Amino acid sequence: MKLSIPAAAAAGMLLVTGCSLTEEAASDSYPSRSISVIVPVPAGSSTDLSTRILTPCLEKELDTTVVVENREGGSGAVGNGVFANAEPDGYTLVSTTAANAVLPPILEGDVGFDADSFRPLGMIGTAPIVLVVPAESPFQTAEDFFAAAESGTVMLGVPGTTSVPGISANALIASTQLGIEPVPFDGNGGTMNAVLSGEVQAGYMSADSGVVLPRVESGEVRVLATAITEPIETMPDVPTLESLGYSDLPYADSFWFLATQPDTPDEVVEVLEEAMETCMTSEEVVDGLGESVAPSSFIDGDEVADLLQQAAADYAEGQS
Amino acid sequence: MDVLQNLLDGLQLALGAENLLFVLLGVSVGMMVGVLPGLGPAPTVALLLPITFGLEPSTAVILLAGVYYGAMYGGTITSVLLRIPGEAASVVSTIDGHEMAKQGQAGRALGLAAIGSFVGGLIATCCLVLFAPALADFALNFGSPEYAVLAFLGLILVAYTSAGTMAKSLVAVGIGLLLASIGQDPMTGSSRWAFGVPELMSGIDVVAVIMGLFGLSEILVNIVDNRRGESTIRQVGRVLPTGRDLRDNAGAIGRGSIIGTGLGLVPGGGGVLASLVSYGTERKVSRRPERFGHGAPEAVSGPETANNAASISTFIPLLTLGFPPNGVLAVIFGALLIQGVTPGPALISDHPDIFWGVVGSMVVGNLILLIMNIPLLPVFVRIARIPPAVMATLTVAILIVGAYSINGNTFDVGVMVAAGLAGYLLRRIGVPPAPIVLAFILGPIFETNFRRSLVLSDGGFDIFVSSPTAIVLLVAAIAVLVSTALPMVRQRRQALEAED
Repeated sequence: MKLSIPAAAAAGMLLVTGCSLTEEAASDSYPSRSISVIVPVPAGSSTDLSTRILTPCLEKELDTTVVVENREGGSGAVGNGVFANAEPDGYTLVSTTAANAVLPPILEGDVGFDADSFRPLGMIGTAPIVLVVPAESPFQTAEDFFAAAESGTVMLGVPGTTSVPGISANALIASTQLGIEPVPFDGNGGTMNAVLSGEVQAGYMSADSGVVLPRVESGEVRVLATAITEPIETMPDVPTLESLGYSDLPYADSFWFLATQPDTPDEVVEVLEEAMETCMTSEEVVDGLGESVAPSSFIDGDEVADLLQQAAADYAEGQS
Repeated sequence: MDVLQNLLDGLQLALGAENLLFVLLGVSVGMMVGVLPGLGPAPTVALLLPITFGLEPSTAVILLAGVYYGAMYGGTITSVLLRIPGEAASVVSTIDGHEMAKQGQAGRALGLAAIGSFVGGLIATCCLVLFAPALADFALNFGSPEYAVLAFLGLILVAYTSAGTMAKSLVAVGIGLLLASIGQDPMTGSSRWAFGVPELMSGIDVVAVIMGLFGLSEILVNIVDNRRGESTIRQVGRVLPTGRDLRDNAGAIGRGSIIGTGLGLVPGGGGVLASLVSYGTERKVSRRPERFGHGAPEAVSGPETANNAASISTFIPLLTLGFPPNGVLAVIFGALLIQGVTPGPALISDHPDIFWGVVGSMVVGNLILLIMNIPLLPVFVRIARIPPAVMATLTVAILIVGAYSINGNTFDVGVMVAAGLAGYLLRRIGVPPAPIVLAFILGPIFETNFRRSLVLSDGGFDIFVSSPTAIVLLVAAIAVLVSTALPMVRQRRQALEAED
């Protein structure tokens, strides 16, 4: 009997590792080729940038190539649709915001996916919503703002009606009957311009690192309140809307996560989740994302799934 | 001197290895398409769009701008030698320019046109440097009502100044507005005309529409019409003009520079309008108007100066207000959007490298064109004779790859092809493509700001007369509307209607 050297080596390894190999055959073979991560928004957006900070680490952990594919369009509907229809084998993942994952089916009806089409693997980043006013505004505190909204009408700039802040603002108005008129602008940039030029009295937007945080640091705008339940670590003195008595608001934290399809084999999910946890707690990824974006501790798939369901319910309510 | 320092920085940027390469590439391609009958600057800029995806934003604009004013130089050559316009803005040069060529003075006509274009280009660049930053500063204070009124004025001017009859321009504007309303309602977020197709929910891509309407439809028209010219001119003659020639044409070149710079600013304006108005002006001020049509040099130098000046001053509204005044600038608007740069009043302060780099490249580019024009004349004449079959096949392939590469999906290819076929049919019935694209861009600006203003004013229309800027713009819009009814203006428009 003749045996080639690699075959002999393989046979030898089989003897050594024995039965454990047959048990783990499936997960051992994953990943055997490159993995693509669909990003349903344009290259250069904050979701895209943070995904690209994460993927080099995933490549290292999974020992395969991880390709980021931007499939934009339809406020995330195109890319998330492609993801949901892909083979559930762990080779087509998605990195999406909760809003882009759950809003299209609520707004458009059947788009080929809904909140149940995602099996989250872990949170990548968050951007809390903040209530901001220009430095020269007469509103010194959130109380000033809400007092004005009780006695009259306050113009509140939001980055689009179906943006997370837009929906959150609508819910706030619906639950409080305050005199707040939401005025939609083009994204965070347009909203910030309107706040700075005084076209609106205040802005309600995600505290992103491109537009909002630099202007908070430079003192051009003042943060009166945040819409999430816990105070932001970098702004411990800023009150939350809940602490001001405005509770039961939709989940007001824009967050984005990595996900696979629900039918993905469990052993593949395990491998991915483990890699995700390692990366999201690694110094290189956390530093790359920055303190204000990266979650302070790893938020695993099940937790994200709960948040996603909650967001879907909140948005559905906010839209009705 | 802040301006001087910025200008020097801009020149330095433009003279960097990569930018210099792309200026050279841009103006050479521009010259070529200017020379090639049928393929004008708008489809070419649309064709080159995919190439710019990987470039720096400033380099992208430098390349595309080079194509535009390069085409203004090149178009003259075909007009003068073959008596067919290389591109639309050189159409008046087919009259006196070709007459001069028949008299053995082709070189003289081309030399004067090149020098005039250079002077006009420099004067328009100076205006860009002097006025754009101030205009942008002013526009930074524009709120929603001012933008709404400005976009309204823009839409009216687009319909008013476009080639073809007023009615057909209005149809084109209507089509553009309708296409722009596909996608999410900017105020409520509900979807319009999407029919459950996810790709339509965020609206159709402006770049795909431009590639189809300008690029594909142009090629189809060329194939069907089999446009091609044969030169009967053998003698080019002396190219460098004499001192006396320059003195005689100084007036025409000066007037052409002013007319071109001014008309480049008007939405719907640009090269075609500028050269027509300059031709009319020269005939009016000439002491011997009877020479016009029989080889009058001013009838070439004036309009050719004007179209080049206009091609440069059209950048002022784009870079200060975010308003593209014509089809070519609409493509450049799209190129900037792809780069993540939204053209608007903040562009000069947020991206000084784009503004000053482009300004610097215009100085460099015009100089290259002037130098290139004279020795390379025979080469460009030969380019005009590339078989249309080769050109068409190549360009269609580039368009398809380009449309796919916008967002990496085949849907945009479909949009491009559909826009191309629709554009072809519309051209056949005399509906021009440029107003469609301009309305497609201006429509959402108008709609969003109009509706946002009404939210801010709680439904009161008085917000549109609440600031001096808004009042002035509104009065201007009404004046244009009213003037279309005046008999004098109607006659002026006849000239435009004849051109198409």
